[in-house]
Amino acid sequence: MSVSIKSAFVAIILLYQMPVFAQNNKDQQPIRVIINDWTSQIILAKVTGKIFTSMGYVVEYPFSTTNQQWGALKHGIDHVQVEVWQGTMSEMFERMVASKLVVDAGTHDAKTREDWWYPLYVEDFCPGLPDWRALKNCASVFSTDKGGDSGRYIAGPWEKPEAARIRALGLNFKVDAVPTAQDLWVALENAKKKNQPIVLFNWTPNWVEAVYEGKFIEFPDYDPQCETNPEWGVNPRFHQDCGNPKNGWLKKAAWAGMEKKWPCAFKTLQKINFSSKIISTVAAWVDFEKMSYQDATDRWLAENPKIWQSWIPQSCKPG
Amino acid sequence: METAHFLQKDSIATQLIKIVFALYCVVAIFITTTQILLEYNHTKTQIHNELGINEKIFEPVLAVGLWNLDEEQIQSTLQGMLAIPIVTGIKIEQDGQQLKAMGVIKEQNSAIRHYNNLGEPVDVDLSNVSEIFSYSFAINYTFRSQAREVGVATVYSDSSAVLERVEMGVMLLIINSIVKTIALWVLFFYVGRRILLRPLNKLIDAIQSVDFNTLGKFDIKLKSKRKNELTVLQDSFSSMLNQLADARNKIVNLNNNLEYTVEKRTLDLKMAKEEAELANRSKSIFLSRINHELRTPLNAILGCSQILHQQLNGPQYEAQRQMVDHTVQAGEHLLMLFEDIMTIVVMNGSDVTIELETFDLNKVINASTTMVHTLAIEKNITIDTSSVPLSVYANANRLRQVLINLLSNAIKYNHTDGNVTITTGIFEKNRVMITVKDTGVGIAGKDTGKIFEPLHRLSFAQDNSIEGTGLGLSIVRSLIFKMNGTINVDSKLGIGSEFIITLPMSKE
Repeated sequence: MSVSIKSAFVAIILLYQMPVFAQNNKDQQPIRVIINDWTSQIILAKVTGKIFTSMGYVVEYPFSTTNQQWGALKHGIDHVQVEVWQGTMSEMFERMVASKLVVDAGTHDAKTREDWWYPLYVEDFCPGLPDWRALKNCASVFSTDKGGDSGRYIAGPWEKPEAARIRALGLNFKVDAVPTAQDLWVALENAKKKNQPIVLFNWTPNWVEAVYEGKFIEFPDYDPQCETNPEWGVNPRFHQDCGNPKNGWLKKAAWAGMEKKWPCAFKTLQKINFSSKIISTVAAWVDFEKMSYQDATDRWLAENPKIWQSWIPQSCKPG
Repeated sequence: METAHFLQKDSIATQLIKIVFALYCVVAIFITTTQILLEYNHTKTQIHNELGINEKIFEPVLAVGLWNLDEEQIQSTLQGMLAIPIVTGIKIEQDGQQLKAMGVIKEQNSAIRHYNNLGEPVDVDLSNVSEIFSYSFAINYTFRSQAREVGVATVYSDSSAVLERVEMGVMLLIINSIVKTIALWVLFFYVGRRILLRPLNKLIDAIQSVDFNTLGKFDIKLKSKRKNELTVLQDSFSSMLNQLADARNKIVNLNNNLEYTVEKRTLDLKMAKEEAELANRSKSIFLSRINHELRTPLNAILGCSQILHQQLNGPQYEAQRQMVDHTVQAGEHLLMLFEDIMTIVVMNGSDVTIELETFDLNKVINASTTMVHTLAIEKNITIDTSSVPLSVYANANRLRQVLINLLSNAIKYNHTDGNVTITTGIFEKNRVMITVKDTGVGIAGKDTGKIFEPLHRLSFAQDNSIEGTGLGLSIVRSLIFKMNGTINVDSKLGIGSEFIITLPMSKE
């Protein structure tokens, strides 16, 4: 019997046969684990949900945008968010935690960075990279037929202050947002095939750096004042005259009432911890190897039982 | 003649103008006030509706801000809402608690509070804030196709917003009313003066200048091209004056003729008076002569007859004595008739006056009863007098004549052994009453009105050969009237009669 089949068998038995609570699952209010629209978050959310299910909880996976999820967490409509990125979600996260309606459920070991990124070959077209000031001289290198002399920056479907950064740093670029994360990788692949310069939104941990060699644009280092004090930074007139945090945290967030309502699930959530390697690996399974989210989830659980079982507090295990 | 212009301030036209102006002012004020109130309420309703429009504009933004706890966004949104002129305050509530407020709002305890642009409460004088009204709406955030209430917004406005909006309109309304009122008054004054006051004054001047001696020359000329009340008045007055002028001419002519006629008539009257006086003197002479010429032989006949009756003693002269008795009776009757006739003639003379004086009534009554005593004894009739001491203002002799006449009748028309009663008393204020009542044959109702007519005699008297001339009661009535008295009769056939006389007690 192959390792994968055996592991899957074990996982299935463990997941569906481990009685933690004698209660009927149908009687419990489901724990709603938020699903966003990027691969690592989806898989991490499903893994977390599967762990809860193994503990006897009922779990649902509602979709939400990163803008709407905070209100849902605050009101207890949704209960768990497994990926909170410092670079783009810190403001809302900290606001919600300050209101005591959302709790900080802990930090992953993974370090995050999300910013402008380019494949390594682009340095041949734009000397001076990865320094951001090089972009000022070679904006036209990144232009398309429609954009004229302005460079094209490919952004994801998530709301980011890219236009504000372009204005604050005086870059001759225009933001071209694509509807899905997959569109980013399609654009990257096409540009690589044609050996065309490209600069796009990317993040780490992600599978991309495992497949494509590249670098983040080095904007001025992030400081919280960059977002609040226009006089700070290279441009005293505008905010956002900096890049995103380079070693950002990746946190988990939960509805404030979760600890009381589902104490074991909450404690487990607090112990759930994904490294950058895990995240990039599972993301590659889907985005590169074209596995389904569910298969990737099951595979990881089957291959790493010791890891995820260690996250369940002893007091929450049977016996 | 003083002209009528001094009356201008009290003229009909001026009064009309004043009354119309006053009434118009009242109506204009009432209507303008009503318009202002309606405008205020309408504007207030409009503002209330406009407050409601804010729901559509700001609810989505507020919903996102509340959903994401984005205080900065909420605050900037409220600042934007407060910049709307009609909005004086906004309040955001969440789960029944006030979350954020800006401007002048009503708190949950209904107290009015002011919050600055940062949502901080400040103490300011809010005494000038009046009549706050609001519009509330739920703030819903649509998440997964389901609207979820994340808060309640209340937008406030007050009467200052209404007044600010209606201010210009109200001012124009008031100015419009004032201008219209003044214009109306000026026009009314000008037109009224032109078509009413001036023609009226002309008419008054013309009327006041009318001279009776120049009636036919009256002319006003109101210069009105149209026929109206004043022209009709002018024409009617002119016509009346023309008629008066004709009448005046006739009167003058008549007057001239009248003087002649009066002179002639006066002369005729003078002559008639002289003739009447002459006739009267002739009448008096004639009466005096007749009185003498008839009385003298009558007295002679009666005297000689009585002497002859005395001389015809003895049974052999019985037939002669009866003839003499007849002669005496005829003579006495003729004398009585003559005296009555003379009395009637004298009483009917308009220049005959009776001297009146106050005297004791009982004395006259006693004297009268004494005079008829002999007549009463013949029929065994008793005469009772029950009178009280009274004075009467009359003529004693004439009153005695009256009483003797009534007592005589009471005896003559009475039964044997009958009764006659004389009573006196006070009738009314300053009048005495004398009644002569008998138990005689009575008078039929149809005759009571006739007995006072001259020469009228009851059929009973004629059937029973009772002496009399038929002039007695006529004389009695005339005498009583001459003494300012009254006489009435109350009688029933077979029972008797009562004559009631009233006379003044003293000179009135």
